[in-house]
Amino acid sequence: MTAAINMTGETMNGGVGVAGGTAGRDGSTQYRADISLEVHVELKTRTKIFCDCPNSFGAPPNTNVCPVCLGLPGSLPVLNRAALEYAVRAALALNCTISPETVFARKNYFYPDLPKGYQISQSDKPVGTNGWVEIEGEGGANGSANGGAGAKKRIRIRRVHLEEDAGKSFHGAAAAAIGTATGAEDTSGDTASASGLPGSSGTSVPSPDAEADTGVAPAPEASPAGPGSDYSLLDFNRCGVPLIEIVSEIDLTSGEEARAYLQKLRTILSYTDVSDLKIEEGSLRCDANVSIRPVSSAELGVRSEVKNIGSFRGVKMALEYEIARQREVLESGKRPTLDTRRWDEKRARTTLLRSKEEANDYRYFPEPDLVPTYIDEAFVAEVRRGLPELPDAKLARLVAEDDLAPYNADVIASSPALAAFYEKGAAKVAQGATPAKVDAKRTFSNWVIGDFLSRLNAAGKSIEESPVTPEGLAGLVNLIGQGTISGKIAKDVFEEMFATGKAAEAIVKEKGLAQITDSGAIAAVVDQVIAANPGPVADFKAGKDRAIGFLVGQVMKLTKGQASPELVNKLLREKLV
Amino acid sequence: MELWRLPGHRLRELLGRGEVSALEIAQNHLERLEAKEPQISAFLHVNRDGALMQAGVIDDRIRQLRQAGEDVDAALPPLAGVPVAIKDNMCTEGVPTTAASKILRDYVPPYDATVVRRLREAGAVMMGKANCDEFAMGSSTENSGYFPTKNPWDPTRVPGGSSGGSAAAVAAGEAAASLGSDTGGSIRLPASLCGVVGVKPTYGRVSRYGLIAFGSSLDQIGPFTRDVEDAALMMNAISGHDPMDSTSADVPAPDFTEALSAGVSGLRIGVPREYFGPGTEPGVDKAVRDAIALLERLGARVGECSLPHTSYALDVYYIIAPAEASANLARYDGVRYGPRAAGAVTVGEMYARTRAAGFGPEVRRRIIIGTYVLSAGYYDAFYLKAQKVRTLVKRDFDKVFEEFDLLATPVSPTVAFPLGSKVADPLSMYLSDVCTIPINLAGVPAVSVPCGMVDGLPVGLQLIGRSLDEATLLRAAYTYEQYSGNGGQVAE
Ligand SMILES: [Zn+2]
Repeated sequence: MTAAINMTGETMNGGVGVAGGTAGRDGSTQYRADISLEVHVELKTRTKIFCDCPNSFGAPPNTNVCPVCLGLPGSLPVLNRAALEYAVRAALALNCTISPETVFARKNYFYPDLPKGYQISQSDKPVGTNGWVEIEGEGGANGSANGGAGAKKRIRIRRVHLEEDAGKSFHGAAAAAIGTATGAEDTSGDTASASGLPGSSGTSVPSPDAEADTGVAPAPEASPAGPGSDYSLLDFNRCGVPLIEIVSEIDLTSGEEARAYLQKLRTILSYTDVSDLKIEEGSLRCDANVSIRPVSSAELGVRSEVKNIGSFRGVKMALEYEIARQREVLESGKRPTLDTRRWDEKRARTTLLRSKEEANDYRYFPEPDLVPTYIDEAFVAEVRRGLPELPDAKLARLVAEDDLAPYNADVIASSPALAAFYEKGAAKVAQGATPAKVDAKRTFSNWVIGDFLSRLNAAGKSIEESPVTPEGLAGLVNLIGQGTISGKIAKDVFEEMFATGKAAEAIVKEKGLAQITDSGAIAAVVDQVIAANPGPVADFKAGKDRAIGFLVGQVMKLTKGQASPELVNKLLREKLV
Repeated sequence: MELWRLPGHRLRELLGRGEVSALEIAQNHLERLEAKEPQISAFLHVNRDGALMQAGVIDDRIRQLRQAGEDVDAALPPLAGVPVAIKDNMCTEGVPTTAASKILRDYVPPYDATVVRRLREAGAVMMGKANCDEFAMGSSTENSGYFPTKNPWDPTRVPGGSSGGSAAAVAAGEAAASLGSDTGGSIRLPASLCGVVGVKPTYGRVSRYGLIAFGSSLDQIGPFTRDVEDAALMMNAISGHDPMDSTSADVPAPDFTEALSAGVSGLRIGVPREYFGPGTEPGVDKAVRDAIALLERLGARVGECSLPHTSYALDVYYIIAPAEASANLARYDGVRYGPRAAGAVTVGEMYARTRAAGFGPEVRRRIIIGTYVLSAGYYDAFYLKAQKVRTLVKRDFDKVFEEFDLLATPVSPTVAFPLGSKVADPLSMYLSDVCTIPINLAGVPAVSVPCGMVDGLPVGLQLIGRSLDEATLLRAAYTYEQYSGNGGQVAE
């Protein structure tokens, strides 16, 4: 794979060809990018990480709270073992080594939505270290439908650690919206008493002047003077929700690779069932570190950290923007600075949050309120046994055992729900298929990732909501395999199945769609067509082989498409010899 | 009857026999409290109505038991009717809790600390919240954000700190017992200076849940009482594992009253030479050595020993405790509770103004020290090194406890000093804790038991025990108390 990039002559906002090393003007410097991602994943444990409050999304503000997650004076954290188990599960799926002893640390910074003034996180001795995932290397990405998968690239994972989430701040217009909906003054007072915040002066605070380096807090909207411009509101429901942070090594070299890596993380984690993984609800969040350097340089460039990336597309776009921006800085003869920047997806640009001088010193030290946690080998082995077949292994098996095209196997393995659908149905097609149609599973896989997925997407339904069951789709594919219906007719039958939920056999029977495979019946029509088309018949006999296509078409027309095309072809040739 | 002169176990006895009512006990103590408070100022909040109500509930219960023909004494919990004071850094549901800081003025917790809940369940009646140094940072109670507490034996002098209000209340007869917290000597020093018994249990023996944190790896709650038997009863009530505190020891606590009278015969008592430094006043030195001599006469085997890393303990403490405090006190930011400074435009300004106005000078000093020693570039040189030296200090104790069952030392090099005499000199104030700090670093238990008076001011003997072996400590203290006749005194 090539890591060299060159963006000479490309505009800042254009679709910058980052990866693949486009050739530059003569004499221009070739640059490479060095990227690492920090990915936060909310764990869907029943309760929070250090208290018994429910861990659920969407509850009314400040209702899922207690003295512990509010950090009230005197309260102490107690580790939820389920959160540890989920973290171990995720770390194992990402090929990490599990630390036999894991230690929590206080990460100190001030921010209104961080009630203790520190976040309980991990510094030394995280749950997992030295993991990796594989992505498609440059050039091989998803273009492997024709066989041969592209080269794999291994992205190393430095660490997976466990920590608590912070609360949520509502700034400016968002705060005003909450205020207008329920009465701003009352809201803060009510939430304070309802949540056991005694002697409270409310949960509204002056708007922060800059976003804290939480890696999790939503950034304040630009707030013009007006309602909400001089206060913010706080919701502590999310406070204490367990998170894992997955930190990659600086192994990524383009926005596209970063996107592929993030996508791969999501796919693997979706199999471990530890998180909802919803970017839009914030249960999957991503920050990126990126720097560029001349390809000839062995030393890393000065990096910037990009926060607030809210989509998979956003990762690629933000990094491509940032790479181009840094390049422009370098080419203008300046040195890039160690910045923290914010990705503005609407305007497709990054803006400066703060420079190095303002950077936080988090003053990590071991959390004295929690004792070191020992993770014994038996526990790790048990968690490992509980892991399902992971996507890479599944893909390999579907190719080797089910003889699927690598592209099909990749699409199917990329979603646990889709994979489960495929595997249920594939078991049925295998049973029904005749030996002559060995590629029943292949056909089935084509249907799954083709008509089935597109129909589902068009209907806006999830796999679980599909009116067509895996067995039902297998039944349809079996009808094709047995020659009962043609592939063309099958598409209509599928539509009917999707609309009514009826079985394929029932629809075929009801509508009389079965192919005419009776040679006698077809022979009569063939004779009729030969008699009616002396010209094409003469052409064929004169050696114009293509003319038979017209004759086949005429037979199909007269049989309303129900004749087996193979049989028609065979009979025509016999009679015209 | 002057019920306030009696120790808790005597009050409980009278109540069980029906000779007094819980209401009489509470009222009698409230009268004493009201008479003494103008002079002593031990309380930040007097829980008058709450105490009377609790006492009334106990009397109702006694009436029911009597009507049902049951054995009242056997059915009542062990501290029924005993008036107690709670240091103001422990959360009490519905009762103001400020840790003697202006930054928590008017703060009312929505929950009880585990120790408070356990005392309530044991039948104790809560008289109020005792004054202390702000966030337990100090050795004289002069750092209270509200007012200083005076020593009941001489109101021109300090009661010691940081749990000065808890010690003074018990010494003055305003409560039969109280709870304090000890991070570097904050129970033992005021116990010594006020002439009462004070126990610093093993780290982890008593739950910290609901204790407003100062130095989380050092803080431990313990009782003040006027005799050792009460100390054992209080320890029985508050000890034991708490699932809400991950650092609480998951081992059953024994009945501390059981072994009290077993004597000291055969106990090996070590006398560490580092604890009798040149700063020790001659009167203190003599009182402590006389006490050790008495224990020897009673059958203990006494020998000199050494804890060689003692001289580093103070330095280590003043790195670790402020480091932990700097994080523990970050939550007092004016966002959710407590007074918020007005007029700030940005949230950063609001934090700075609120914290500058809300914290006193000693607390600010320690937050600054703690922030500094944890900062990038200084962490290894200060915090990490201090943790390593802490391990050495701890090993000193492990080593001497191979040879001895207990150690005996002074609690404080001096008797109670005049109010104001050390406020301007933090370092000389810090030296008050030179004999107590190493014990917190090691996490082992210790007790301060009165061992005589010098010029009308009390002196305390410190006994230090093995981890989780408070029983042996209390047994030795009890034996000494019985034969010295120093138990149960009240300051008039
Ligand atoms: Zn909670």
